[in-house]
Amino acid sequence: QEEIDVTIVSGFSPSVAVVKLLQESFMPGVDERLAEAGEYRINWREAFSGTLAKPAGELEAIQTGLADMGVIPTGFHADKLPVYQIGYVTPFTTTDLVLIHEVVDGLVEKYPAFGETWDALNQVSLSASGIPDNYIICSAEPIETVADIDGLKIAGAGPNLRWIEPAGATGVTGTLGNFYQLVETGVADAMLVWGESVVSLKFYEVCDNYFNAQLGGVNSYVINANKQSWDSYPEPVQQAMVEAAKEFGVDLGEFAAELGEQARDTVVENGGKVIEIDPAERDEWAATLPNLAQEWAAALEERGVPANDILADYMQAMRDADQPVARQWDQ
Amino acid sequence: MTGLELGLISVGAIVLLIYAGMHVAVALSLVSFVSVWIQNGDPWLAAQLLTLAASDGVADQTFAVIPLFVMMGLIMSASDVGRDAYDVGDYFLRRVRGGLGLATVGSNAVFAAVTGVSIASAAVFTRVAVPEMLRLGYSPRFAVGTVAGSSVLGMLIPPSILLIIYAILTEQSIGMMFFAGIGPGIILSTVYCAGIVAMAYLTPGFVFDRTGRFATPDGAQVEGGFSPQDIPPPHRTVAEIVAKSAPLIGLIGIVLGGIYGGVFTPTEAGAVGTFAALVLAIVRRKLTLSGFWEVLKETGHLTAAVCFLVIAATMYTRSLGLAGVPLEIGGLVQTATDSFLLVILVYVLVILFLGTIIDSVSIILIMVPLFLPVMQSFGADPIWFGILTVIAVEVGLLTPPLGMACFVIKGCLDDPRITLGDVFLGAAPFALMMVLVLALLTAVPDLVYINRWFG
Amino acid sequence: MTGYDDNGGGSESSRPGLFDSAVPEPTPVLTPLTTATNTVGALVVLAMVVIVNIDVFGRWLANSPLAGTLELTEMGVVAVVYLTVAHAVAGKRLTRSDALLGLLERRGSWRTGAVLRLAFNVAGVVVFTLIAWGQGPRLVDAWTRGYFKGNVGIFTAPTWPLEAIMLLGATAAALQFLVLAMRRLRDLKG
Ligand code: NA
Ligand code: NA
Repeated sequence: QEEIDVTIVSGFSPSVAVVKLLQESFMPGVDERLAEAGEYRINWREAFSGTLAKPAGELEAIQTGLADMGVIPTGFHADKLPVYQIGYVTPFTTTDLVLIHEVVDGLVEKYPAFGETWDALNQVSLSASGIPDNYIICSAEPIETVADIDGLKIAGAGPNLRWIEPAGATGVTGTLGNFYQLVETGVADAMLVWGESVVSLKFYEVCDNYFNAQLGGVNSYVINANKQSWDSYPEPVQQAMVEAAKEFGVDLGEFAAELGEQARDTVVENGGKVIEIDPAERDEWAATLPNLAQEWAAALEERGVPANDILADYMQAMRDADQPVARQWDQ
Repeated sequence: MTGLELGLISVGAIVLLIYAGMHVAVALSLVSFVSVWIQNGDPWLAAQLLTLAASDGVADQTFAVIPLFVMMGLIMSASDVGRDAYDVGDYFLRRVRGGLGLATVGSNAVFAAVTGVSIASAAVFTRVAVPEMLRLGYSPRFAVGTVAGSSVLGMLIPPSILLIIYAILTEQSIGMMFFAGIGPGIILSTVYCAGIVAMAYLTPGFVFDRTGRFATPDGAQVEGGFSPQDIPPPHRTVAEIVAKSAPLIGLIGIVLGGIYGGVFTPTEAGAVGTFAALVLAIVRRKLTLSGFWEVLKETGHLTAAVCFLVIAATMYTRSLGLAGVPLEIGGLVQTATDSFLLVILVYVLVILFLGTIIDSVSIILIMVPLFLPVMQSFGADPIWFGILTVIAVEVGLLTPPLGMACFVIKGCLDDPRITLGDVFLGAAPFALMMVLVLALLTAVPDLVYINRWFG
Repeated sequence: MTGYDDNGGGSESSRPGLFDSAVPEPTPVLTPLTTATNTVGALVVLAMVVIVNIDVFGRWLANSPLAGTLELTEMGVVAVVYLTVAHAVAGKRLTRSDALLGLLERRGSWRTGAVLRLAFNVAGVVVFTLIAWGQGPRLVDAWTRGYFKGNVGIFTAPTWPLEAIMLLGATAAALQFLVLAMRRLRDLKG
């Protein structure tokens, strides 16, 4: 039996879902597959919680070879990974994270533009996954209709702010680490987050109203390996890692959906309200957004990436799966 | 070589180099580089570790507060706000032995409600408090030690970056963690005050400067057997006292009001506070254009010195992480014992040891995930455990060779006669008092909840 | 006493006064360069204060925060560090413990002290050269591939100026340490 040392990196700690599932799904998934043949064994060296890189620093850690593999939050790298931003430019499309994972992985297989992104960054990508299964607005005062959003200060991460500003909200740029405080002190009135984070980060304590705006989910992570490390792994190990990475995408999606459901109960238990968006209002809101997807596709087409085709495939897959698409971003 | 061996050797090398007098940041970076090179046999990779930390070590809003709060402190000091505040403290507390020490602790506790980073407290109060304590006859060691000791209140009393990190890491409520920081913050302040008065009576030589070398010509001369409290204070009218206290109270009011009134975040408070202090300085005609220019340049220097320490500490922490040292230490301890008190003792000792060389945030990120499951298997309250952790980690701000608060104070001092050694020695009694509070909180865990203090 | 002036703001000899940021012995090119970058660094500090205030008051009074404040302040603190670090090295402001060096001075064994100081300055050269070495490719990548910070459609800022500042700052700091090392060597020789 051959032992292989693998340093696996994430800037997040095991209390964050993506790392929790690395430990509970991906790593044991690889181990189990390899144990069947008994030929190889991975000696995992966990470099989580910023011990090797901060969140967003994983990309360079894998690129340079400081880490052999890890998860990269793609939303932090609009400049390096433009083609992976597809989820952020197509809101109001789907709330099925497992579907997003599978569709994006399919696109990665079909369009070399995804793989080529990584060539320059000296790494290979195993699978795409996500955690926000559905962006919602968690607010201190109940939001009954979309009109109530007008004039609110809403904390959100950069790429999401363009979704809510057309509804009259003032975007307050924040991070998951300071949303709680922003709303608690009143700097922001609400936050644009997803159900899992409402439970995990206890956001319901400061904003106990849950407005299910159904802004949808996005692909937000990839599992990557350093190119040299990857090439040094025997074929059965590579295969086990790819399979486990795909399973990880499904597990992460299911985990997010489960906690997202739980969030509604938690909010109600804490005396808050859960309000569903009116579908007609949702369509109207979606129509007022700037054409994010076309902007994105145009910029990529200029560089020779067939982004229009990628976008069309993505949207078609969502329509085929009967998702609540409020705006046909490819038309 | 195992990770643990490499870790121990690198610790030894760092201690040696720093005590020999190598620049602290240079020593940490160099040892990190060599240690990664030895592990991987690739100098380019080791250089990449340095470069990556050099770029992302401080690229964070948390660190953007450093120049902002440093500048606020410099302007407050340049516009005599600090001096006036201390005249007020002197007026009320002169008759108490060690009164200005109490004033420093008290005003730090208030300032702690504004800042989330102890480095900011240390920078501001070095400029505000130390010159005044020296002027009024206190010894330099006591003056810098008091500032160092009370600066830790910045990260215990909310808002606090350490409490936020712990809450997120362990899925506790940030609000609950903040609440649990208030009681222990008050306890620690009280213990400090009691300790200061006790030292003023029992070891006056430590508290007061008998040589008169540090008092300025207009200051108090305490040669011979005199202490500040034996010298009658200059007569001041009530109007004078009000006029002298108004600016600082106004500044704190603006900053606290802004934070708790939902106008800005604790991070942004540094910039708004700087703006307010600047307006005040201009109105009082205390700051010339060239003086302001010097403040800007000095802010740049202090930021470079402090942030380079943070960067170097990041490099070193990562080199240890790469060697697997934290995991090995954790594994070692977990298998060793099943007595709760012993585990707590070991945990605190490991943190105190790591605190001598690693920065506070990294210690929390490394140690808490290893120990929290063990603690919870004993049924320990994770909120209480968080407060215990934060205080233990903060002791490290005061201990050599890597004591961030002491470094900042040394960097901000404008009196070259006070050495880094003086700062560490002055801070030592305060570090001991923190350990005392740790013991107290372990004995009576309910003390972390201020609402349970009176039944 | 010329041999003992690089005490990092420590002993009683000749640390430059608080607001006296003049370099004791100017070096051609390097001193004007570090003085200039230090000036820019001071202006960046001022810009950070201004930007955050505009953001806060804009958000509070007019519901219109300043886009890019988060990115600019994050980049700003890094810029300040590297724009001012060489000047801080020249002005002996990097933190160090001077207990042993002070002891050696008082005991009169200045030669040992000077040898140690030489070694420490060389270590500074090594560390900053390593950082600059690793920084080179990052600057090339940022420039050729057009890396940026921020979000498309809201605010973006190219990262190459920051990468260039880091390269420049680390190089200048290495050179400043080299100048200090040469001076210690000169003292030792006679
Ligand atoms: Na605080
Ligand atoms: Na320490």
